[in-house]
Amino acid sequence: MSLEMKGKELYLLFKLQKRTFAFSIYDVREIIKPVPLTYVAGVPAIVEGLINLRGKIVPVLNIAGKLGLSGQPSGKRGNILIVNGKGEELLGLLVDEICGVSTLGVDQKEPAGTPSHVNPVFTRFTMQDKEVIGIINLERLLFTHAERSSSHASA
Amino acid sequence: MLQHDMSQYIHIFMDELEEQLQVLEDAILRLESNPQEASTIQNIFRAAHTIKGSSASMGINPIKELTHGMENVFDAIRNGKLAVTTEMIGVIFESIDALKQMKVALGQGKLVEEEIHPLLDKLDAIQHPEKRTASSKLAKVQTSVETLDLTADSHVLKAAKAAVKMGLQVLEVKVGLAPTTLMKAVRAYQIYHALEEMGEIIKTYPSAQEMEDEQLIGDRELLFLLLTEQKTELVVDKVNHISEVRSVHILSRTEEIHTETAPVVAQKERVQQTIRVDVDRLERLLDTVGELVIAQTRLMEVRNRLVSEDLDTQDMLSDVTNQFSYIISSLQEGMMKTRLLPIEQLFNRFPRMIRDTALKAGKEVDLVIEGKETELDRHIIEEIGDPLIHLLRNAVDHGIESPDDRRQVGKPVKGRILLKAEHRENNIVITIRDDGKGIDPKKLKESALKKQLITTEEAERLSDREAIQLIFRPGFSTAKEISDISGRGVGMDIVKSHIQNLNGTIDIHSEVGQGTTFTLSLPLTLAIIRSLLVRIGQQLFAIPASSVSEIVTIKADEIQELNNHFITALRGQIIPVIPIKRRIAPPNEGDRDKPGRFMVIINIGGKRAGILVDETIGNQEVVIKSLGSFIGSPPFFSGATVLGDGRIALILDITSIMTAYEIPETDQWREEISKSAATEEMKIAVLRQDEKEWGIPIEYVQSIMPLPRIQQLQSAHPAVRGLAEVRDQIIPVVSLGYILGRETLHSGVRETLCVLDWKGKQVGLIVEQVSEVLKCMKQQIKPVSEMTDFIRYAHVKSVYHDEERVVLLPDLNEILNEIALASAV
Repeated sequence: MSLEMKGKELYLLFKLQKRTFAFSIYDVREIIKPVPLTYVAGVPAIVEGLINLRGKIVPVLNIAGKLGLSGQPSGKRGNILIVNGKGEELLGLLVDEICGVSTLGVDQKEPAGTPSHVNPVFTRFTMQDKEVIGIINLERLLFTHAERSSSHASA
Repeated sequence: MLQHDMSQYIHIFMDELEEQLQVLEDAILRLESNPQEASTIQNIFRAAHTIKGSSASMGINPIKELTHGMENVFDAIRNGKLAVTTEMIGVIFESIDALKQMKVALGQGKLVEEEIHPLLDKLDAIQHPEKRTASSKLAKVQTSVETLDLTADSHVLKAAKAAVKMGLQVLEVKVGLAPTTLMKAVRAYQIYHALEEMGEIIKTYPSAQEMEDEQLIGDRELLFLLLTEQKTELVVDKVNHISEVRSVHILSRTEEIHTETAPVVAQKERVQQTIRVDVDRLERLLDTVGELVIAQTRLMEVRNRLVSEDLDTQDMLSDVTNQFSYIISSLQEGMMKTRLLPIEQLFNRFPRMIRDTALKAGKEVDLVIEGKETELDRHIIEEIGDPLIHLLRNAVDHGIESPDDRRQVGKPVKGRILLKAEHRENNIVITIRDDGKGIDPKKLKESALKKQLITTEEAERLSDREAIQLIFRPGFSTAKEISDISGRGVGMDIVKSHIQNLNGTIDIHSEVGQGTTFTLSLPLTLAIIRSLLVRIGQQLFAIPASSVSEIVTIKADEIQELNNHFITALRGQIIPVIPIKRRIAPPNEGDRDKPGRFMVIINIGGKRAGILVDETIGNQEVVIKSLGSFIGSPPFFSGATVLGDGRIALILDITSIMTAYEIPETDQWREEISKSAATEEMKIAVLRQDEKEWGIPIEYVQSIMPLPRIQQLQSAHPAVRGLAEVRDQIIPVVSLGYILGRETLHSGVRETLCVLDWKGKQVGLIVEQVSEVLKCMKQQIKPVSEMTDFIRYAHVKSVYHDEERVVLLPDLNEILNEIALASAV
C-alpha cells in the first residue's frame, strides 16, 4: 500500500512476441521453467493445456490473443508465470521472456492518449527506455471473456 | 459486543436446532402410532425443552414462544391430560414446519417476528378444549399427576444428582389442601416457605407461578421436589403445621436418582466424542492427503530407479518407502472416513414425507427403514436425496394400492415400503421395495406406444423385463392423472441420469400384484476411484474401472462404418466403436485417425461400446482433481489426476462420451440396425469374386478379417470349406465361389473371411475380397425377373445397378438354409 502511495508499485516485466508487458508483482505467484503441457480437448481456445505444479493441476493459458497480438506462438517457450485465479486456484500464463522487476512510476512519460478503452485488459500504458509497456489488469485479462459472451447472448 | 458473541454461537444453535427438530419429528411420528409409550413422550418433551432453552438463551423469541406452546401440549400429553389425536399431530407438525422455516430465515439473517400467533392459538385450543366447551372438565383433570418426572428437565435432574452425591435426600412432597380452603394460593405459599426452610425446592407442580393463581390450583394436589438432609418425618410434621392441609405424602426419589446416575454419565461421554468440522477445511485436508499420495508414488519410483551398489542404503530406502506408504494409506483411509456420514441423515427425512404423501393420496403406508447406520460419502448423500424422494413418492402414489383395493385382493390394508441401505463390496446398495400392485409390462407397452416412444414391432419384441425398463425412457409416465405428488412424466429418466452421474446404477424388478423393487448401487466415495489407465495418442487417460467390462485387441479392418457410427463384432454381437482419439488428441498429433490396437469394452447403464485406445497401462487408484473453475467441465472429462511420475491423466467421463457418440441402449441398438434396413436407404457390403461384384446387406456382416486357418471336415456339404476359429469361437466356413457355381481353388489368391450373422449364429463366408460398403436407395435394387435374362446364376434374386456397375445380390437366407438342410441329412 505504501509503495503504491509513493507511485512506486513494483511490476514484473515480460516479453511476448517482442512486445513488453507488465503485471503487478502482487498478481504473480511464481515463475517456472516450461514443462510439457497436457492437452485437453473441448476447452476454451485460450487454454493451451495443463501442468502439474507440485501435485496441483494448473491450466496454462496463451494470452497473446487477449493482448491483441497475432496469436501465433513465437516458437520458443520462455517461461510460465503462475498467477492467482479465482479463490485458491492458480493459472499459468505462457510468456517468452522475463525482463525483471521494475517500478513503473506515474512520473514516467506516458504515450499520449492512453487507449485503455481499445483493449480493456490494459490498466494503462507507460514508456520506459523508449519502449511502450502495457500494464495488464489480471482480473480483466482472465475473466472478461465470460462477461462478453453473456452480454452477447442476452443481446 | 453481545451481538458479535451471539453470531459465533448461531451456527452451533442452528445445528442443534436441526438435530432437535429431527428428534422431535421422529418421536412424534412414533407417538402417532404408539400414543401410550412413555419414553417417546419423554423424548419429545426433552427435545422441545432443549429448543426452548437454547432459543431463549440466544434471544430468539418466536422460536422460544412457539416451542413453549408446543411444550405445554406435550406436557399435557405426558400427564395424561390430553389424548393423542390426528388433529393434534397435524398442528404439531405444522408447528415443526414453522420452526424449520424460522430456522431457514434465521440462516439467511432475516428472521422477523414470524406470525406464530395463529399456531399458538391452535396449540392452545388443543390444550384447553375446556375453554371452548364446558369448564366443568377441570375437575376431571385435577389429580392426574401422580409423580413428577425427573428426567424431563435436565436442570432438575442435574440438581437432584448433585444433591444425591452430597448425601442429600430427594423427596417428593405431595400436599393436599382441604377443598374448602379459601385462599389456596396463600396456603401454597406457606407450604413452599416451610419446605424451603428444610432444604432446597427444585421443582414444583403446578409451577411456582401457577400456584399464585387460585383458579389454577383448583382442587389439585401440590407437588414439591425437595432436596434436604432432614428426615422424612420432620418434613411431614412441618407441613402438617400449616392449617387447611388435609394430606401430606412423601415419596423418596433418592434411590431412583442414584441408579440413574451411572448411565447418564456414560451418555454424556459418548456425545462428546463427536465434533463438528467445517467441510471446506476437511476437503482441503483431503486434498493435501491426495498430494501426499502422489508424492509417495514418486518416492516409490525413485527407489525403483535408484541403482545403488550399497545394499544397506537400498534396504533402508525400501524400509522407509514401505513405511511411508503404510502411513499414507492409513492416513488416506482415515481421511476418507471423515467424509463418510451415516445415511441416517438422509433417511430420517423420509418417515415424515411418506406420512404426508400417504395422507394426501389417501393411503396407509408403513415405512420400514433398515441399515440407517450405513456410511457413505456426504456428497453422494446430498446427491441421492432427490432421486430417493422421487422413488419413494412413486411407491406411495403409484405402487401402494388404496386401502379398499388392498382389502379386496386380500392384502393387509396397510401397505409396506422397505427402504434399505447396505454395503456390498465397494458399493452401497439402496433398495426401495413396495408391496403394491407392481408394474404391468403390458400397460407400459400400451402407454409407450401411445406416446410413440416405441413402434408396434418393438412392443411385440420386448420381453416383460425389457418392457419394465421403458419407465426410464424420457417422457414416460404411467400415472393416469397427474397428481399433486408425482407423475408429471419427467422423473424416472432424470432419476436414472442422476444416479449414473454418480457412477451408480439403478435396476428395477417388478411383479404384477406383488410389488416393485428398485435397486440402486452407488460407489462409496467420489474422491478416489479405481481406474484403468490407458494411452490414447501421446497422452494418458483414466477410465473409471467400474464401467470397464473387458479389454480386447482389435485390428483396423475389423471396424466398419454404419450410418456414421463405427461398429465391430464381439463374440457374435455387434457393438458400437468409439474412436475417441479423433476428438481428444491434440489437433497437431499425427496419428489422430489411426485406430488404437486395443478396445476397452465399456458397460454402463445398459449401454455398451468399445473405446479404442493405443495401449493399456494398468489398474490404479487415482485421486480425482477438478480441472478448476477456469476450465469448467469440458465435454469428455470428469476431472484429472496426477500420476506417480508427475504426468497428468485426464479422467474420461464415460456417461457423457456415450451420450456424445449417441450410443443407444443395447436393445435399442439392434432395433436401429433393423430399422435402417427397412428405410429407403440401404447399405451393401460389396464382395469381389470371379471378377464380379456381389452384395450382401450390411446387417448380415459382423466382421471382415483375413482368412484364418481352416480345419477341413470330411463329410460336410461341398460348399463348406471347414471350421475356423474366430474370436474364440469355432464357426463353419463356406465358399461363396462354390455356392455360385464356380469353385476355383487357386492357392495364390489371398482370400478374405466375411463373418455373417445368420439367425443368431455365425457363419464365415470366404470371398476373394471385400471392396467397399455401398450406400444405395432401395429402389435401385431390382428383382431379377425385371431384368433382362442375362443373369443365370441360381440364388441370385435381385440386382443393384447404376450407370457404372452391377452388383448381384444372392439370397443368402436361401443359400444357407439349403446348406444347413443338406448338412443335416
